[in-house]
Amino acid sequence: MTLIIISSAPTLDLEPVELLLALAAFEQQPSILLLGEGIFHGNTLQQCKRSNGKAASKIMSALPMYDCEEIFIYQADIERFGLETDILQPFCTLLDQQQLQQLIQQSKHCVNL
Amino acid sequence: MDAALSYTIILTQSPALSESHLTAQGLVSELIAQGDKIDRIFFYQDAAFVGLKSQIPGQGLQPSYQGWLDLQQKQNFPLQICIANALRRGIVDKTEAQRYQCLETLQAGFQLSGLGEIADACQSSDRIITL
Repeated sequence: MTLIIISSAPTLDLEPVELLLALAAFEQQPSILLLGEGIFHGNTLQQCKRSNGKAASKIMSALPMYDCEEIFIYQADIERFGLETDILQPFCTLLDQQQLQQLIQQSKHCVNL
Repeated sequence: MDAALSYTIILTQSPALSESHLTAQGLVSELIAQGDKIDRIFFYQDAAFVGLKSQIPGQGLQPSYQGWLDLQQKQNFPLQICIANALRRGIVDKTEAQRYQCLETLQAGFQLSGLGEIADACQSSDRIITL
């Protein structure tokens, strides 16, 4: 299993998410972990950052169509940034530190973006 | 001696702003020296700027791509730049230059590649290292 770790905030072109979608399109069934400022990718209120741009919230909400049916988020970062859990994508799963370590250990590859 | 491993190295940061390219070059040099195989170096996000051939470095300095080209001489691995990330940043190979009616700006020795290369790396490389 390949784990895509997104630890940077959403940007204009959402390039980390493009990699995730590409791996899914190639049937790699990647898992996704949002860490640090990357947790904002899981915010359903994220708007597109420029006209005709792509909103992180819409792209992330489409992940189940690519067989990415679970987004893992480090709970401590949710608390650190004061994000309300009720505005997260409905298929997000919060992990504590031990669960986070297990997820990373059981992954064949981790790609941190 | 341990069995040789195969590696894909992914870089994401601009060579002008980050030391990650120099760190990666040191790592790749050591891996080659100990007999490991480099499957590919993949440049993603702002790391794509490494392939811009119009770089003019400061006096006495080398352009950021030179270290990669020197290492490529030791073991003939591909230097792959994500094509979508490259085009956004004005890094264009001969094919894309013809398509978009613009000048070719890709440094020789590098190639524009799709993200399928990372999917392949997940299947075939023993290790993927992101810097």
